[in-house]
Amino acid sequence: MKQLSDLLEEAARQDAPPLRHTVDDVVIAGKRRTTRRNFGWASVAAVAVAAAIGVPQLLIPRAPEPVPLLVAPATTTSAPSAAAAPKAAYSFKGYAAGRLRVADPTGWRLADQNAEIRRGATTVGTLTVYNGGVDPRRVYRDGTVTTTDPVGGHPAVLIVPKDGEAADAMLAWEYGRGAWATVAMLEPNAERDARQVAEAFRSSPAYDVTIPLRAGTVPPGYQIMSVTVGGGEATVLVAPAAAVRLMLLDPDRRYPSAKFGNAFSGLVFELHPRTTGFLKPTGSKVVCETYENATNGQPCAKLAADGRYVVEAHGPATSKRADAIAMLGGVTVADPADPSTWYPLDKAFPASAQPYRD
Amino acid sequence: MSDKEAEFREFVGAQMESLRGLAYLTCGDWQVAEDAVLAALARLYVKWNRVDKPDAYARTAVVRAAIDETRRPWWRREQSHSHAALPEEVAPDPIPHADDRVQLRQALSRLPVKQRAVLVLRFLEGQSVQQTAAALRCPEGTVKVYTARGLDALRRVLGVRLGIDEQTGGRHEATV
Repeated sequence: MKQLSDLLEEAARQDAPPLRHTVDDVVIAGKRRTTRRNFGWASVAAVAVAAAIGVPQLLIPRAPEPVPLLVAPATTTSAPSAAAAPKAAYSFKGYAAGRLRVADPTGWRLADQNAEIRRGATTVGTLTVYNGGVDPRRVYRDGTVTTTDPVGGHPAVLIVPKDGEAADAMLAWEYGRGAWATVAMLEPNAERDARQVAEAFRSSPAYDVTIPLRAGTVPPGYQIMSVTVGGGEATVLVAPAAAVRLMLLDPDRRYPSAKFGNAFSGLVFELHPRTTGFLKPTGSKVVCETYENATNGQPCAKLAADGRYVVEAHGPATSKRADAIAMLGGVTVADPADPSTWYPLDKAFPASAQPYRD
Repeated sequence: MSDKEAEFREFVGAQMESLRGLAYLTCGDWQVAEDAVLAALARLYVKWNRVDKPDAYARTAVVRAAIDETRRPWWRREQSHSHAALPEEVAPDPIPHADDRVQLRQALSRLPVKQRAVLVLRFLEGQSVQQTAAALRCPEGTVKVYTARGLDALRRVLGVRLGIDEQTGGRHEATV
């Protein structure tokens, strides 16, 4: 009988292809990272170009030190009131930006909407379009905000989140009055790509957020906080109405962790392919699981879409298994692979759970 | 070349291959694993003067980087397709000695990435529940649950007995 540790060691060693990278590659990557930290994004592009063509780099000027911008504190005129909560709608569509393509948005939250940026079939970044009044310079107030060249004549900044590396810098710009968006690229040295995406951005007339599931039963006192779809998966977070109210009073629409705890204290509806996830329902049977130190209540799951997908429902931490089973029992699933069959959010969830007030 | 850089080069030369194995067991893809190692070591280079235990730092950073790689939507889509192609029970391999290894890799590939990471850190790296929780930035309770679930899943998929003796001689052991 073999030890698991021995088996793991074998599995981690045997049949390994030759390493593609050398020690030199690691050192170069480390030095580039150091350079990015010291000189900022724009200079890195110059260093990369200079290195590529063999130009001595001694004359590259040091970029100015980041200077925190003065971000106006929220005022009563800019802070949204609970009554001004955004309707769950997308305000932009997918578009081309040179060799990149921004997909249609696949995420809606009280604070923002977001979409993947792709090169061919590969995701290379994220576009986040903030809902009115939410300012990323304030959202990332703990990070570093540095002015940069305008985007299409609009004010722009580079933001490095707290504890982030310079390589994590995102481009933020005010595309309309009080309306901000950010582009975060996964690849380093991608400022040119980020600018291309930003400059090609246009907002569209608002249109429905749609999802591939419909919830028949949502306990009273909960409202939708976020919707994420894509890659055959969908997740809807439904927060306690009191938490949503606090979020709407916060100009940055942050989840009130101080009052509601770090774990999410609401309901979760999830849809994902059968091959992923913890719970493995079979046939028409609903299966449930009790987590040790449960923070999202007791999840229950059933098969959906001809057994190709699993739909899960989690009650709040204090809920009983019967609550999750009742939530799950009311769920209807469309064809996750065909967005034309999906339900508009305002039809998919009862009026009491909608993230806005009429 | 400074002494520090020479030290770093020596460290990378000695550790790169085993770090890639660690990342591979976490993410299940050799190429992604190597990308994760490169990213983690590039970060370590920047902090080389300030890190007390570079080996521990590198191993934790590599596992985190491998988890991050698997969170990329395109990767998850690829994984879900490849998982769909896996048989429910793994067929015996005609080469007996490769069989255990192949089955273990396939069994691991069926687990969620954090469960894999927990098993790898605990049973390959010999880390305690507390150390694993710190490395993965999750509660100790979660590590315990993932350990139990991961071992249970391995038992089911491998179709053999899988026992666990907690912390035997400073190392956490499970037998198959």
